[in-house]
Amino acid sequence: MKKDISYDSFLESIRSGSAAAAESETGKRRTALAVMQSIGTRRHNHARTILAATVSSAAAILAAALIPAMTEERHPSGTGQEIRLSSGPAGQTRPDEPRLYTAYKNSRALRKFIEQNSNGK
Amino acid sequence: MEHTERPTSPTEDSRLMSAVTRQDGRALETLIRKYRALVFRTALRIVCSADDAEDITQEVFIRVWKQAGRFNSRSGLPAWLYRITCNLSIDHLRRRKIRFTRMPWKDSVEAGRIPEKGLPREKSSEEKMIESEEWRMFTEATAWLSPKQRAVFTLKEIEGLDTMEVAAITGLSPDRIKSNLYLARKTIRDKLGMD
Repeated sequence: MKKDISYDSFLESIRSGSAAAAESETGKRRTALAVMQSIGTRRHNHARTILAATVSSAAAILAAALIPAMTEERHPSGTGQEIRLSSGPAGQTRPDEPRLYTAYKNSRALRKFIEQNSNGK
Repeated sequence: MEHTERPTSPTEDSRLMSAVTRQDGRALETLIRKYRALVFRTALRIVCSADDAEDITQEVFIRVWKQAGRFNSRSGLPAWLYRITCNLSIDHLRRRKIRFTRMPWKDSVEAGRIPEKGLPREKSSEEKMIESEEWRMFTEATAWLSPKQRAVFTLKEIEGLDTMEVAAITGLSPDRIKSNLYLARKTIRDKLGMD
């Protein structure tokens, strides 16, 4: 493939042509729009990821605290808000009520329960 | 270093990068308007596809946003942008394993070009370049170069950077740059039948 053009002229045409193509205002707007949309999406997804991880961590802590406690009897502390995980006599939750559901019903009582359980170890 | 943008002072670039580090979107937009041409033409000259060059350009500025804290103001923002652009362009070529089996310049012309009804519109500078005979020659010849040779050839021969600047951008030694450039020039001259 022989071309009637010098090497230097050839390079100059490539240099000027691609430079002109790169300077287009349309291209700048297109790039800016795409980049800003992309980082906006990534920041949104990043926030969602953090939230999901936080919820997941809280659920893991909850499970770790409740699973050993579910095999033991707990006595009421007199606050009226403690969670009774053992099925039993009067004042208890319904015998057929799932134990974890009982735990979720009152978050303040749950935190107190976890605190008591941790201190008891 | 070849620039067609308004000359920017290192101080202004450092100020903008500090703002980007603080997640200032407007600062990033300013950087894009200033340096999009540099990034795009470098990527275009290495990968020889306008569509791929646009993808790479966008990825470069996304990385600038994510890695702004890594920017070292002593080396200068253009050098950092060149480095990111070259790395992404080389990775792109290696993934595609470009060989002389297709015409990327033709893909750029045909892909996504929907014929418009009514009066024919004036072609953009990008389209004019892609359809030029010189660009076709360039893409055919550089298809025979390795990704590293393409990057060195683009930075040295077309962008006009000196050897030390190219070394800082590519991480290659000056001797390796010279040998890559020699081979690239020889290949292009041979393929184009030039002396």
